[in-house]
Order: sequence, then structure tokens, then C-alpha cells
Amino acid sequence: MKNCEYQQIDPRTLPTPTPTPTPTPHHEPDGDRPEEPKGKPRRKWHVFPGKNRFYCDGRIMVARQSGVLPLTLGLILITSGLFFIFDCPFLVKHLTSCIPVIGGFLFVFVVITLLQTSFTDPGILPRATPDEAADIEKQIDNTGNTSYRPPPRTKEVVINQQVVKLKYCFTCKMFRPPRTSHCSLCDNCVERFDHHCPWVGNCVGKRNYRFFYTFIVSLSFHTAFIFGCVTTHLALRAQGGKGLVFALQESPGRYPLIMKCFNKPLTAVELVICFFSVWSILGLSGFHTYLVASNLTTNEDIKGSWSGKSGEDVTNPYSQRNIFVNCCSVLCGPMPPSLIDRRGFLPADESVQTAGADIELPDLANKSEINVCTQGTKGLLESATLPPLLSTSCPQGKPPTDPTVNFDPSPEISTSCSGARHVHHSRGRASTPRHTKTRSKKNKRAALQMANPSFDVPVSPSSPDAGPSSKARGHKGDSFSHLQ
Amino acid sequence: MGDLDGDQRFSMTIDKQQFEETMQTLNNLYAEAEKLGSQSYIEGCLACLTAYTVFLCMETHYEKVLKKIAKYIQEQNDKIYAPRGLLLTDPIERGLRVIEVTIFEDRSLTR
Repeated sequence: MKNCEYQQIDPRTLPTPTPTPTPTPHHEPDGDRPEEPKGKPRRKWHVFPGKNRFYCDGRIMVARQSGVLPLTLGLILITSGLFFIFDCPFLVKHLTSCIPVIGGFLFVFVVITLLQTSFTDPGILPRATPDEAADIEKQIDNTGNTSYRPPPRTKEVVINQQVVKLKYCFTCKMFRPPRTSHCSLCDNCVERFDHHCPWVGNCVGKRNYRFFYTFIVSLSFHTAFIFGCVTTHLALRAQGGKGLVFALQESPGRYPLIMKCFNKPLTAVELVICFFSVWSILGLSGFHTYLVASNLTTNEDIKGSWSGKSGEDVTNPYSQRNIFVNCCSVLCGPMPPSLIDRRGFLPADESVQTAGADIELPDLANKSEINVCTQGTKGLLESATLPPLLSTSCPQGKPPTDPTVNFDPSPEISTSCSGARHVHHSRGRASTPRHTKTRSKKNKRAALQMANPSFDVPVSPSSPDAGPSSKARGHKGDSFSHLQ
Repeated sequence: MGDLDGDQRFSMTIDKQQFEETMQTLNNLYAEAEKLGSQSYIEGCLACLTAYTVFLCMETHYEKVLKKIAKYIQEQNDKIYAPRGLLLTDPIERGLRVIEVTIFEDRSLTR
């Protein structure tokens, strides 16, 4: 570590840094990509910092590791294809012609919901702009703490009389809203993060959970339907012949010869695939039905966030205490829009308006200053991986009703921190005033270095709680500063 | 730091009550967007029955309210904040997490 002392980044002392070749948050309002000044304007998905792939000019997005999505699609297509080719004709003749209709409907439903789950933005949160990140840094370390072990970065909010800890995401440079988790595979913070599903090749989060649920439910119906039909098919054949083995061996004369050769093992293949799929998919559907009914995410269920195993009296603050209402709110709630605006155009690289101020682009003479700040930040972020330092007098267990988060008729307007989104929880408690973030000059660029991914310490969603036991907020001049 | 930081400058520039009113209106609008009512249920059920393909053609209630919010912020900026040298950034551009207030000032007056 070149510089062990943490140097606070002051946005006003930093000159506008030179653009780095590494990916930066794409929401940079002034644009920091000067390498394509002419030609067609680029869309924001070109500079998206997460590990995602975009197709159709940003309309479709998948995780970079598409996992086994091709396998999932292949299995569904092959099994359904075999069903329609080999079983439907027989069953239509012997039973009813509704069979292929139902099968077709289920198949289309499954494929559409699968594609929607895979290609929809799960609720990715855009990374904090460098200005905002610098502002948060400033607040957290406002005590002038010069040791390179920063205080642990958590913030506590109260949701429906339940204390919820918000963690700071080092990659995205923001305090994660409640129920948000950072997916290390996609390198994004995802709202209402459920899990990263390799079968669909995408994270499952707030925006695509209903697609995912519909997919697994319809898939369980579909596999059960095919399984039932194949079994019926074999049973009917066995009745007409000398048993099941005969049914598997025999094939009706009207099939062409080539199909007669393949008919026997293919039906068995269908049966095997369906048999194993039915149990696993049905089990998964059942599990997710339980999650939907109690308004939990897989992440919370696995971590046991609301099960009260830590001994405290914790309940799920998001649950409406009514199964029907929970289901409706999860599956039929309003569809939030995508926050990452992947098809928006990057603004041209220009200076922004200021009242009478002239903007100066950085010159190379300032580079040394940038490097110093870089190293200082690097030291900060590297040391953040070390165990947190207990530096507060705020005991754990006391629910610190942070007045900046709860609605207070006289909120300090001067507080400037990003807070929890109130809208999720306004049902159970009074509205939270939106937190304000002030920054001194729009043309000043704070700490673009902070967005340098080499500093980032991604937090995987399955990582256990680091056990932060202190609030890391402090604010100069506030009456409710907790960090001493 | 010896000079005023952005927060102090901001609280000196704007009337607290005015800002609170703006925030409260915004909060109410967001609450309306995320409200669980009969309209959202109908929209959700219809979407589910059509395998969510309606989302490709129809504008959701949420998006309609977001447009309303954008208009409201624009109007507030024009009427109240711009004359004072402030600018509110629509929270949707910051991931619906923060509302950003930009203070414009004359650089020649500061260090």
C-alpha cells in the first residue's frame, strides 16, 4: 500500500480528472468518453459497468455468464418437440384433440416467460455517480478519521417498526436500499434480489421475479402434462398389446420406418426427462409459492434474515400478514421501470452550465494530485475489507430511530445522504422525506478515480453479514450525529 | 474544511418549508405509483394471462406516474429552484435513490 493515510476526497479541490480507459458509471452526466467525439452517438449500454451482455441495441440484456440457458431452452424444445411428434398423434386419435392445444398453449407460455426472465433487467441499480460517491465518503468519514481503517459502513433504517441494516456497496458506491443485494456474477446491485439463476442465465430480482415464478409454475404444469400424456400413451399401447415393454417396442404401422427405429428410445427419453424434471420443478415451484405467500426472497430465506434465529424478535417487515395480499403484491404489483436506461444516448462530452463560472478542463499538471487522491482512496477501499473497527458509542440492539429516515416534521435539510427509498414502506410507516444530496458545483468532478474498478470490493450475495456493529454515519453540524 | 460545504449553502439558499413541500409532493407521487390498488391488480392479472406480452405494447401505470413526476420536477425547477440558482435532478436518473440538488455558483467568488 503506497499511502496508508486515508485522504478525504473533497470534490472542490479535485480538478476534473482525465477520462480513464476503464469502465465508469454510465450515468456520468457530462460524459467522459472523449474517444468518439464524432460519428453516431453511443447508447448507454455501451458503457454499462456491470457484467452483462446486450443485444438488439440494448433492448435485450443477459448476464455475461449465460449459464445453462441454452440447455434449459434445448431441453424444453426437445421434450416438447418429441411430445408433439410422437405422442400427440396417438393421443389425438385415441383420446381427444384438446391435448395438443393444451400442450401448445403451455409450451408457448413456458418459452415466453423463460425468455422474459432471461432478457429482462432484473432491477439493476445504476451505480452512484462520482459526485454522489464522494459525498457519501465525506459524510461517513466526517470525523476526520485519518486511520486507514474506516468505520464500518452500515446505516440503519426502520421499516414497519423493524430495524433494517443497509450496507454500503463498495462496487456501486452507495448504500444499498433494503432488500437489495450485489450479485457477484453480474457485478450489479439488484433490487429485491432473489438469486442468480443459472438455468435462466440472469439474476432474479424485483422486475423479473413474476416472470420467473410464472415460468416455473407453467413449466411444472407443462412437464406434468407431458409426463401424464406419455404415461397415458404407453399405458394405452400396453393395453392393446402384451404389456409395457411390448408397448415400448412396438410402434404402429403408419409411422415411417425411420421413426419406428427412433420411437422406442425417444419415448423413454421423454419419460426420463419429465420424471426428473417434474419433481425438481414442482419442488421449486412449491418453495417459491411459499416465498411469495410470505413475501420473502430466496436470499432472505437462506440467510434467515427474518426468522429470528439471532434471538431477537424479528419479523418480516415487508409482509402484509395476509397470504392473498402478499401474493398480489409480489405477482400483480405495479411493474417498476428499468432504472438503467440502457438505450439512452450518452451525452456529448461538453461542459455544463454554471452561472457565470468558467469551467476548466484538467491539465496534466494536476495529475500528481489525482494520483495522490487515488492512492488515498485505494487505501481506504482496500482497508475496508479488513474487519470493521468499533468506533461508535451506539450500542447494538438499540433501535436508533434515525430521524433522517423517519419522517420528521423538521428534517434537517442540510442532511445529504442517500436514504432508503420510502415508497416500499410507506404503507407501514410515515413517509420518509427524500434525502437530498447537495454538491457544490456541477462542473466539478469528484473522484472519478473512485469508480475505478480496480478498487472495487464486490460483495457476493451469499456472503454472511460482516457483523457491522456500529453506525457509520456522522454529519457535521447535525444534532443527531451518532458517530463520535 | 473551512468554507461552507454544499449542505450549508443549500440550506441557506432555499426555504425549508418550500423544499419540504416539494419532497412531500414527490413522495406522494411515488406512493401513488407503487400503490397496490385495483388498477394495478387488473394490470398485473391481465399481464399474467397474456404471458406479460402486454408490457411490450402498453404503458404501465408506474410509467404514467413517472411522467407526471418528471413534469412536476420540471415545473418546480422552472418556478422555484432555478431563480435561486438550484436544480433538482429527477430521482429516476439516479436509480430512485437520491434526489440531487445542484447549486450553481459563481466560481470566481470562491477559491
